[in-house]
Amino acid sequence: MALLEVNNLRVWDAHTKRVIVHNTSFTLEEGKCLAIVGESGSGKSVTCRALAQLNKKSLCQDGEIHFRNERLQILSEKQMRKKRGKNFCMILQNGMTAFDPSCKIKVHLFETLKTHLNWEKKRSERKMIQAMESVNLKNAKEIMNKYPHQLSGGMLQRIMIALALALEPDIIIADEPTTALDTISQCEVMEQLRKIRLNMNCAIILVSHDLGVVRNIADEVLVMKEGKVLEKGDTPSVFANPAHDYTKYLIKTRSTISDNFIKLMERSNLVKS
Amino acid sequence: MRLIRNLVRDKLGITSLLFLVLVMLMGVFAPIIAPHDPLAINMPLRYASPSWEHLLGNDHLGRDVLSRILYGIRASVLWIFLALIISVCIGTVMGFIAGYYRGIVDSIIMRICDVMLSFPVYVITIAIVGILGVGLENILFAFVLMKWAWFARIIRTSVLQYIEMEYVKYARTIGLSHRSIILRHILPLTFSDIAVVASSSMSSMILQISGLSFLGLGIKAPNAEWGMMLSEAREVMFTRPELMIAPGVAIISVVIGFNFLSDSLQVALNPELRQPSKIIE
Amino acid sequence: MGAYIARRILITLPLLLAVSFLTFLLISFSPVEPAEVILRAQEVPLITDELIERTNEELGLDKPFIIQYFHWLISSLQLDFGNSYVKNEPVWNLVGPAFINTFKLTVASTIVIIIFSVLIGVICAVNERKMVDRWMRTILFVFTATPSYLLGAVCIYLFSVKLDLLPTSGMEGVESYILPVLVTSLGYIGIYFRNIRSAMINNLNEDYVLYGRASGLSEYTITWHILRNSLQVAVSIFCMAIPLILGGTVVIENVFAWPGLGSLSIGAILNRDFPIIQAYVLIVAVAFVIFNMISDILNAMLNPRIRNDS
Repeated sequence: MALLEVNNLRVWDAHTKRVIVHNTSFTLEEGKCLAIVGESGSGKSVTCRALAQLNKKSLCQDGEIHFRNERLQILSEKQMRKKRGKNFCMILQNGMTAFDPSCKIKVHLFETLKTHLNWEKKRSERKMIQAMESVNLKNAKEIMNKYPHQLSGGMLQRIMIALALALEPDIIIADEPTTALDTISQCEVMEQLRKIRLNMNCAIILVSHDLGVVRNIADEVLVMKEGKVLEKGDTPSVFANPAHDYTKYLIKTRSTISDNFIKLMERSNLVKS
Repeated sequence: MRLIRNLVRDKLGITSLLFLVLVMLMGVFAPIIAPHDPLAINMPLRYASPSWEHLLGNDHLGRDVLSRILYGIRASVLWIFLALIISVCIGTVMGFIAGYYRGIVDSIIMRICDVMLSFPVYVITIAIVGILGVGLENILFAFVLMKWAWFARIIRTSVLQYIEMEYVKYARTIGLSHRSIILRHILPLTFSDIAVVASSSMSSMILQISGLSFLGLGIKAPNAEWGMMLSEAREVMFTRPELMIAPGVAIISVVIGFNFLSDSLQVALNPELRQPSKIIE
Repeated sequence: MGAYIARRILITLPLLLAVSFLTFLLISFSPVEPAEVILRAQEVPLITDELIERTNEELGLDKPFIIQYFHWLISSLQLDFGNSYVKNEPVWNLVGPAFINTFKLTVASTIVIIIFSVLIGVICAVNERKMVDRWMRTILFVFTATPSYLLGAVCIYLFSVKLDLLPTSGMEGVESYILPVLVTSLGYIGIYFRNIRSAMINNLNEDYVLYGRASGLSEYTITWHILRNSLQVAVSIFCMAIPLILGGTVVIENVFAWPGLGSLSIGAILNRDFPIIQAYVLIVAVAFVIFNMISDILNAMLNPRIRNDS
């Protein structure tokens, strides 16, 4: 039995009637990592949000989403709300804007923990400190008392991951978690995601346009363009034998860049030696 | 002009504009279109109900209400519009000087603006009327005196913004004179900002001036002005409340017209405001 | 933060001085000589040049302008605005109680304005583009376009004459506040709720709302966060409402015969009682400057970004 099964998901704009995601189907097994790749505007984020029914009211969706054999569409908003955070935990692209700018970080953290686990402040704090230390955030207590603008994007991203750790969700939906970060923070964040997966055995849906990252972590890949799924399959085979021209193009551009990089490095090595 | 093109597409905006133009034209041509002399007293017709001869009835002195409303456009809308244009002109010139030349001129003008803007317009108007005496011209003078600072500041900001644009920089490098840069390149750009601010302050000015006329500080009797007509109607409010309807509707509709116009101008300037909600991927 | 407040206060001082100077300067533009007004008010039968000179001397009006200004400034700081020309009473004895009456009306209206603009703003933002939102906006749109005196007259006609529920005028008891406060507030509510509504709608599109919803927080908690952020904009606006109302009650006081600053100053204008006009302008202008300062400071205190940078 699959953890999450999506059948013919379709999302369209209620006003303009424009279809943003065309009949999309995929499954996610327990503890696996699925990557959704594509250029910006290809409907990746909308697909992810549709899973947790988080799209704007002006967007409509149909199709079937089964989570542990439970049909999500028939759930009330209240039941769905219980699932968000507890079962599906999201990590957003830009940590800098993901927290209420006028509140300390801990406000959001404690509110979330209180909602799902009914922990009081003391316990939430203790657990968060543990979780934050395990994602390499030192002085956790101090950090929780800061405002978002006082922290860096990478730190906020890791705080989101730490919150996910504390909530122990079944699926983490990471929507371009590394795009807004510098290279070093990118590595850190991806490292933490990998660790979570190993330790907690939770599934990950990773939205990214960074094929390098995808290749390293994902078990399966879904390639999207203009709201349509072009290709899906397990990572090694997609990368080795891309069936679709667009996938080939993506992989080729990626390798052109890295080939160039390698060439440059070699040349400089040659110069040095 | 993009502003006008966008405005034409906005039905509510263009309707308001046409309505206001029509009202102003009626004010200008009041002597031709008014059916009666607005000052002619006709005691037998006191408080007469509307009739074919007097479409909106007659007031407490038997004067024709419709003619008074039409003539009232002059004091209630046209003169205010003129005062607004004058203060916009002063504000534009000052704002341009400050924004274009920067430096000490800029800081002097802006400090003067700070002082002017720290007085509430209403209070200064009352003070000026108190010192120079009662009369519409004094109120309008007070408005011009206070409002230009507001426009100067807004225009300075937009000049600063546009002056950074590449082609203005380019015009400077190839040695165009200051005057031609201002006239040909910056003025058209800031014009739309001015239009938005001016149209929104027009409605507050109409309301304030009619309020002052209502208090008897504005135009002198027996001239027609909407605020004063309401003040006259208030005297007999308990027996003849219907006399408040015509001038009341006149003021409200003109003010609503200007409010709609300013909203539409704003949307015409930033078309993104209109879109329901942007789809963020 | 302390440095910010100190700096803000320091900027305000010269502004206050300039405001007081301008207020004083106003009187010198008068086409009528103050001495003449006083003598007329005292019903002196024949006003000779000699008499005017003597009155000028008594009032210190023969001294150089700057010296007159400093005299006036120093005594004004002690709330001594001189004597009313007409009533021959210290101006403060007239202006003081009137100021308190106007201030009561202002405070009551401000409270009503804050409560209702926030309430309506939230309701409209939560129900954006639905029936409630449309109707609220339309109704308040008409109210903002209605002159306050007309609204006042209609209210008196409806509630006092037809229904006989509330007093038409004066200032006796709580029920006499209802109509003036209602009429004062409606226009402002119509403007301010739009600010709150649009601030909340802008906030709705922020990432933190998405993350809050994605974390399964209740709509109530999320709305509270949105409101908190939207209020930051609103606090400074509300703060500025106080001096605006203070200076704008003239018409309403006249309609409801409220014994406040507005009524007093209208009387003073008609009698050319300059010291009262001067005191009125000074008080309201100073309130304007001070509340402007307070609103900036409050804004800085509410916004952690400004608070921590300074």
